[in-house]
Amino acid sequence: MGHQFLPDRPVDEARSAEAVTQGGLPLRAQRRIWEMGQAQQPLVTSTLGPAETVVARMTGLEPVSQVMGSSVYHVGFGNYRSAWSGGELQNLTTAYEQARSRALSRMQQEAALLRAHAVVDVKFERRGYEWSEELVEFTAVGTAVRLKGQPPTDQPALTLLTTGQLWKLHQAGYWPVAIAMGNCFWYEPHADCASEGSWFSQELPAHTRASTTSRDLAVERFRHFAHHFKAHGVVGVKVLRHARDEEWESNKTSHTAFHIEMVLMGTAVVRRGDAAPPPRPKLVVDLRDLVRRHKEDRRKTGAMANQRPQGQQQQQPLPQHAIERIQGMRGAQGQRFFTSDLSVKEYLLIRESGFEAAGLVMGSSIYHVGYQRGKWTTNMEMTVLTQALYSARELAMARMEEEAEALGAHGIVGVRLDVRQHVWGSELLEFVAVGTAIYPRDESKNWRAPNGRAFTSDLSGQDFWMLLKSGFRPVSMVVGNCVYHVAHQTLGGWFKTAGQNVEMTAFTQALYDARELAMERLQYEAQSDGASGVVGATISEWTHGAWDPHVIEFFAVGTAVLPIGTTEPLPTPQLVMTVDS
Amino acid sequence: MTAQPSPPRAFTSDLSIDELLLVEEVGFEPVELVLGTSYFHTGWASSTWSQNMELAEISAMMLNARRVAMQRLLAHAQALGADGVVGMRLEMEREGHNAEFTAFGTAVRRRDGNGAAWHDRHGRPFTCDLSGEDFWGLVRGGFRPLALCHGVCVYHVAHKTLGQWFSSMSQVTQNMEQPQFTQALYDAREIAMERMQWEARDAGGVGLVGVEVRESSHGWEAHIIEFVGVGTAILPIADPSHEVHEPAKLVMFTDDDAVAGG
Repeated sequence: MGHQFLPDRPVDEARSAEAVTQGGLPLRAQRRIWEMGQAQQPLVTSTLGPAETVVARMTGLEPVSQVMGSSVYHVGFGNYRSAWSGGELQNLTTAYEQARSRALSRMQQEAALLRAHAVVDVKFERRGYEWSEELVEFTAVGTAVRLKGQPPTDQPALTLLTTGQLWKLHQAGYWPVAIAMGNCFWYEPHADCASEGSWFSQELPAHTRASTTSRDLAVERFRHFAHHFKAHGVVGVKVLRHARDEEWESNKTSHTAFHIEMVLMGTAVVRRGDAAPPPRPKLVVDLRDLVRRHKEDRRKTGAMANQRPQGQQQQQPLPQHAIERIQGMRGAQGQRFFTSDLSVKEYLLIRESGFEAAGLVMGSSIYHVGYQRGKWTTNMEMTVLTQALYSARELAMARMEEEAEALGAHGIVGVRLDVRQHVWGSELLEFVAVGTAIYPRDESKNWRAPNGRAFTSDLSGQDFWMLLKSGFRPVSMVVGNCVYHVAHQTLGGWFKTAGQNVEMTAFTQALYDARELAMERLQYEAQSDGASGVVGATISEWTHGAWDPHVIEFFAVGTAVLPIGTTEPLPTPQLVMTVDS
Repeated sequence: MTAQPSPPRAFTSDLSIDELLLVEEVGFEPVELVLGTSYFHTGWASSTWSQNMELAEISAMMLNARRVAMQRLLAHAQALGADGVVGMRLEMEREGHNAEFTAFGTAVRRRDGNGAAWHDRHGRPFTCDLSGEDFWGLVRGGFRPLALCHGVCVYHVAHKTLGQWFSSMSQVTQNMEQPQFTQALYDAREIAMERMQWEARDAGGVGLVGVEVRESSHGWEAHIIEFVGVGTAILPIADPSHEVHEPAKLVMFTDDDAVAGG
């Protein structure tokens, strides 16, 4: 059963064209909207997602329909000649400005016909056409909404905001009035660098001037626009900038021309006289699992269970610059100064837990990873590679811990490990460990690991706080790894399985073994550190581009913990629905 | 909806609604979206093929270009009588040997007129790359931002000499650290961080939060790498009457897809 195809119903084309010329809506659009208004059961079409629609309804905003406005504009020629000495391309500026406002105005007219109070979630699109360089089209799409209990208006407010934001704005005593815009095209034909290709670094005055002036002009227009709507302010301003250099030749001398287009766009708002004071915000730290912020960086390998080289823990000399920087943080007169890559909320939580940030600590090691050939048809661990990846990370970690020791820290939180490869050596891998060293305000209490060194953990500030509250403390970041060569299938094996549904037992076995080895090593590390458990353990796999694709590294990482003996009540979980975008 | 009469000058800002309301909650009001820009030509620097070294002229230029853009932004903010800039960020766009540095941010003003207490040690408006949410959290946590601090180090990592290259060929199967490379990149990062810390101390901060160390080679020769450290210097708020909240912790069960506007 197919749907009936709705045929196009003719309209008076001449009148439709007339309406468009006047900046109005084509008759087909007018008819669609008029019919929507007449329908017994109005059909709601909107760009809002399901949850947004729910929020909109709850907050007294009623989506009515998706509305649209567009304008195809012809951009006049001859701009560049008039701007031979450089300056604004006014023709272009006005054309784009006109096209944008016509599109917006049509969208507003559609909304007014629907007796809507505002159009939210407005998206702007600009496109050119291959068949004509002088044409530009602007299309604005948004969702018309009604506000319960408000009288109808013939000038619905347009805004780039979502429904949730609009509601918050309304609660706080503001109302959007318009989408404020300002633009400017600028052309600088002689933007030559005084000494092209020179050895000197210098500022380029012509470029800077073009950039600044076009920006200033766009901002001025933008302000004028806001003023016209008697706005008290403009929020969510976006600055769009398109610039390019162009070579041209005159009398066999090459010159550089510089084009720049600046567009500013934002939502103009007015303060209403009739608003109650807005609800006061609360400082809330979301305790969702935030370890994920380091997701990509968690490639890390660990010791091999039976050959954990304790020797690697020896004192690693720090580079001179590191020593100087660390001394700078400890301060001469006992006045500490810290750096930290913790976010503001994490920093506040670390302080709440009774700790202070000591400083950002770092360790790095560039390692030559040897070559090892796997036997074509054999599943086997590549011990040379496992060991290499392990040792390199251990070196980086040891240096990081060294910096923490030098700072007198008791531990390091938020550790992440990066593996980097530089263009100048594919067999060289750089391992970087970075984290924030912390120490307790009450220095009489020792938070170091049982072996007397600073604890390490990849926990975020939130997770660290939660862990302490639930009666545990971190001991060390433990890992286990295994680089494994997965056997290629033999020809005989291929014949046996071709065309059949069977489990590839050899492959299953290989990957299973490799993961087990990695997990086992992680557990071994945790046990030898005297921990009672491991939290946040994850296992993942990656392969290095320069290796045989059958060679895979599995690595497991987690934070080994010990009980403190005291627990504090955790906050009761709450179901929260945010009105955010 | 009775609109109040429009003030002589409307504010502009790239703050979101949440950010606007939070910035207002701690007693500030947005003044204007401020911008600063600088267009620079990156020159050449000589480096010795087989030597690890900082390209000091290029480091100085890359830092200077950023500073010039930030100073222009700050001059704009000061001219507006602003007490600080929130959500400041620096963008860089490169075209061949030319690079444009642009600083953006929303200038804010203290509503109680007591803005001087929020300036840095040199009496300049504060700058920070914190969002409105983070700015509010920091202030309600008892701290104030001072300055967005940068440290730059452009480093040339030595090429291997022929002798080293031959001996490395014999090490193909060996696992070993490459101390000269480790040293180079380690140093370069530390220098960048040291300079950033120096700026923060100069502004009078007790610490830096949200530090990031970025590296990029900007299409230069592969052995030349730029390290940039960025962070916001902070200071505890001395005013005893300042209202500090203890953060409420919330275990949220939100289906990320179901969050409105997800």
